[in-house]
Amino acid sequence: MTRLFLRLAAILLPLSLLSAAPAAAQVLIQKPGESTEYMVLAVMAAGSDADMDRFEAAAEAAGYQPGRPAGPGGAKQVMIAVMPDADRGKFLKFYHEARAGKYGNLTFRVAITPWAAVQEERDFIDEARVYPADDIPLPKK
Amino acid sequence: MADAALLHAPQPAGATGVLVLADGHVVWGHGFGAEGAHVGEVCFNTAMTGYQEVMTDPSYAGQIVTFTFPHIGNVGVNTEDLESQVEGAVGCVVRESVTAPSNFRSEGTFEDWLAAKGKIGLSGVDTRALTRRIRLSGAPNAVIAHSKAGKFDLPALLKKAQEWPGLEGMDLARVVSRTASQEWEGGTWALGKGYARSPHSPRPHVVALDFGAKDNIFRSLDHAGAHVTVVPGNTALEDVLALKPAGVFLSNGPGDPAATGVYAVPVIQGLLERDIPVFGICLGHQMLALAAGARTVKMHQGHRGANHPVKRLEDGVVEITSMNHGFAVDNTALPEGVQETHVSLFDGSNCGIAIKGKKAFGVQYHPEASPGPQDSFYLFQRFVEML
Repeated sequence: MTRLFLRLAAILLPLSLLSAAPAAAQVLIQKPGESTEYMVLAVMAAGSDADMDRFEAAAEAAGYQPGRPAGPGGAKQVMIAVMPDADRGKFLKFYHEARAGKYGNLTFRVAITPWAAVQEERDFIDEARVYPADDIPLPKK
Repeated sequence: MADAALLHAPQPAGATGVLVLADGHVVWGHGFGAEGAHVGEVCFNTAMTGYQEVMTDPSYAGQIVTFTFPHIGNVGVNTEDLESQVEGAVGCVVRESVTAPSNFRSEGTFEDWLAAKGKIGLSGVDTRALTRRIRLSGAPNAVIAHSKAGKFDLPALLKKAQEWPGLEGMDLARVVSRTASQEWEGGTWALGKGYARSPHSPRPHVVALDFGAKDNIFRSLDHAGAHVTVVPGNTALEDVLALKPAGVFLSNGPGDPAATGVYAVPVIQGLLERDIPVFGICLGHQMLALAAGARTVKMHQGHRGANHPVKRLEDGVVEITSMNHGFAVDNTALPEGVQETHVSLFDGSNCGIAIKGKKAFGVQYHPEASPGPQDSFYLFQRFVEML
């Protein structure tokens, strides 16, 4: 379901825009110890219904389009696709505030895909992987 | 130029492994398996299963295998899925970190097994981007290195990669071939039964020249009804004939067929002159072609995987095959006495020949699979029926 949501989100965004967008506008990261660059595709938050509702409402208010694709084992989660044309700084601020507990006690996961997969017009959704947020530190700004 | 590229590849904190290409391109990641540095040619393999068989296939000697399938090592290793006891690939490059094995046949972890074999692994690499690089620029020479302390001398590693002569002209078969004859025992594997025992009934005798063979070839010959004696690849014609073979098998192996052919081709020509049935696979196929007057060429990127479609020209049937080769028989200049029997549906390259007027044929791919589909097992039966 997570991958389906990502694919639907990607359909909304022409690949040409994705690959043409300046890298500075995108959240590019390196996993610790690796030189491969990854683009953050989405973040997922899971917790109590009340906390997820709060997070979802805040995401909507911030201009994101959150979805509720089922997580591992059918678990509930809220997912925000990180559009490459979104305001990078605004997204990172929203993410770090959420992780710090602004919307309750939520557990986060991050979906990333190799940046080269985007640049080379490979199936970057197929190559996306989801990791616990602790394993994928995102930049502060 | 290459040194400048190195300077622009700062080592990420926590990196314990690195791949340094001869052109100066550097890929950092997490090392696993043995510590140290190995030089080799970087190739890629698209198989989704069978990493242990790939890593023990002697045909990969002198190579660093990039697996395009992202999850490698996650079913562990066992003592049954070995294709040889000799050195195969010197290392491997994988996308995801190796996770704890989850498989009822697992007897250990991939990392520990690699370490015990002296092979180096590198994870956390965008293997598809590396594969794309190989496809565009050809298979590069490189050094793969692992240091738990994260200490690497990049200029020295680069120098090592650049000074390595490469596989062309290299007779690696001599390195990985058996050094003594062996009466082969054992058939193919079945779940819950393991490897079948060889029957004791009289069977046609096949002498197999080992240029770096995968064991499943001998198991397949056994299963098809042959009694197999494996001999070193450099065995003289007189010694082969002394074993009174009903047929001779030419195995797969690593390196340049032209280099190995220096001593193997005269033996094969002697067999053909005596109308002894001959069957060759991979390197054996290439040397059969050389013996018949054809020539071989180094491929741009090679074929390695377990899903390669091959067209059988006699009836148009398509076989899905397992492949591992970086050289091929040049099918643009086949001599009069050689008939092309199979072609690759990926690029039209030669995948099979038959020698006109002789009971001799060869295929470029691996009908023994391991890993891969078993569409082409009929070739072993066809050979044994000739004897």
